[in-house]
Amino acid sequence: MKKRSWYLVLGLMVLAVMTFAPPLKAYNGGVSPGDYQYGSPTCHSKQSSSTITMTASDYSPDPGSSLTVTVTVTGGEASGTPLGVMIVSALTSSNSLPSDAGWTITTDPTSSTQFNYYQVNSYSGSLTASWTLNAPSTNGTYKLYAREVHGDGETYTNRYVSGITFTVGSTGTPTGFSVVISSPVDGDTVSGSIIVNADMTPAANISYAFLTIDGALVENKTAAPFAWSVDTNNYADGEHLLKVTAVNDTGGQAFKEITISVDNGGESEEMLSWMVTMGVGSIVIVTIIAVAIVIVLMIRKKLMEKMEKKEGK
Amino acid sequence: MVSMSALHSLTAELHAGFLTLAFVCIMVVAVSQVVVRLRNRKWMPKRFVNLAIRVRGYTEAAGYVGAALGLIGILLSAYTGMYAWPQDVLLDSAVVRNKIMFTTFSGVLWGGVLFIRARFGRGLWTCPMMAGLYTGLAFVAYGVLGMTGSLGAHLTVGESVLDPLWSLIGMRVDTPITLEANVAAGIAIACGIVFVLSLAVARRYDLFAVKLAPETCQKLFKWDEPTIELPGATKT
Repeated sequence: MKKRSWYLVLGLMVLAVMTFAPPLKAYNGGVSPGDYQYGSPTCHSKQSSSTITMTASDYSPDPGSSLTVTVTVTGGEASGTPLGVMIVSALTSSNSLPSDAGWTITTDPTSSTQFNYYQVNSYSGSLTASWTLNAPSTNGTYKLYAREVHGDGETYTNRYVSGITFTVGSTGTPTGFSVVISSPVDGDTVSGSIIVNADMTPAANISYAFLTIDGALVENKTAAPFAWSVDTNNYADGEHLLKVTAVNDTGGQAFKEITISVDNGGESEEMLSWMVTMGVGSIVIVTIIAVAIVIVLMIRKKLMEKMEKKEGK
Repeated sequence: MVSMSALHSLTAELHAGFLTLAFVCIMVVAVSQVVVRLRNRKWMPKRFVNLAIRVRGYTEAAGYVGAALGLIGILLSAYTGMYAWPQDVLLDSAVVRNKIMFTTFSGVLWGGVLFIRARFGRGLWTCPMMAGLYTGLAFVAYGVLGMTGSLGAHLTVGESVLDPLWSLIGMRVDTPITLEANVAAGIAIACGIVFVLSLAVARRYDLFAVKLAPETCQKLFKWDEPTIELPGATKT
């Protein structure tokens, strides 16, 4: 072979390496920590069988307030290989960074940087990653989504396409659209299991309504009746903030907040006291019956002794 | 599948029915005994005395059986009632707690009625004081059962015909009856001491061996033992 041909083969090999290096890197070593738009890394296109979920510590934050968003990935094709997770504010390849929507990441899962992308180099079947963010400073409705990418010989991806909705501040409530929490009443002291009932005005065209306690989601309901069963034993004794947020089919939102006081300590004490009273009452009855029988038999015995003496005389 | 609510309604009706039968029977026997006791009075019609003798023979046994079945009914009713509603919701209501408490007291009282009848047999009627205790206990037990029913009415319709009684004794049905822990402990200890003392007295005077029968009580009190007079049977 001529020397020129060797140069051609070498050139093709260099070209091949340059072409296939990025996906190989994504598979073998992942990508560097940083901020990534929704579509990046672009090499991941195959739908993963993993399950991806998202939760937040507060779904109705005040403007600029801090909250935590947690993304959990379970299952999937990756095993002992890198897996990356990102949170984004839109499902578009541009302007999808949380900061583009006004969010500020204060800490990412590494606790030392503020990137929207986090990666573990050896995924072992489940991953939970939490970001602490400051809510946008402008009132309104915001969404955050999650996306995960991983390898295992292929370039898999998955995403939390429904996202989670945040109601920042109180604006956006259409005129005449309101939420009323009919029970419990603001300031109530509650214990045991309670039902939180909410009524929306107008009641029609409600897309969904959700209850949060101290900012943590209890349950999202997509149809009436908007009533949530809450076991207060899962909450510490003291004051808690209940918030019901309703969203209608035009995207309009309304919410109502009340404060309740949980007192399960007193409830347990009262229950114990009731059981003790019932037990002591039963003991008293048994004692009275026993004493009454003994008294009756004693009187009878004395009377019979008296009579026998009389008969003897 | 039958719901627990339906079963509870059934067992509640059963125990209320049996205990009402028991109460009526015991009262009929008590009245019959008084009639028989007064049989030698001029104004007492002989026919009435004969009827009393015949009736008490049937009702005495019916009262015993009714009380036993009613007590079983109370236990079944309590069991089904616990599962008729979620327990945490059930016990949130002060009226329900009071109802459970009164049902327990009623059950203990009916247990006392049964104990006396089982221990002393029909011979208890030959001893007026024991018969009085038996009848009085049945009266109180049925009264407490009635109060339990009144609380049930409060749960279902929000009021009861016994409401004047509640206000008379100054009790609010929607306020749980509870004792302070120290008071409860004191009462329980005192009751324990009294109970043990009463057993000691019974042993000291050999009261455990007492048999109430015509040859003992009747001799003293001239009180007839009830006998069952079956129609067509030869009178002795």
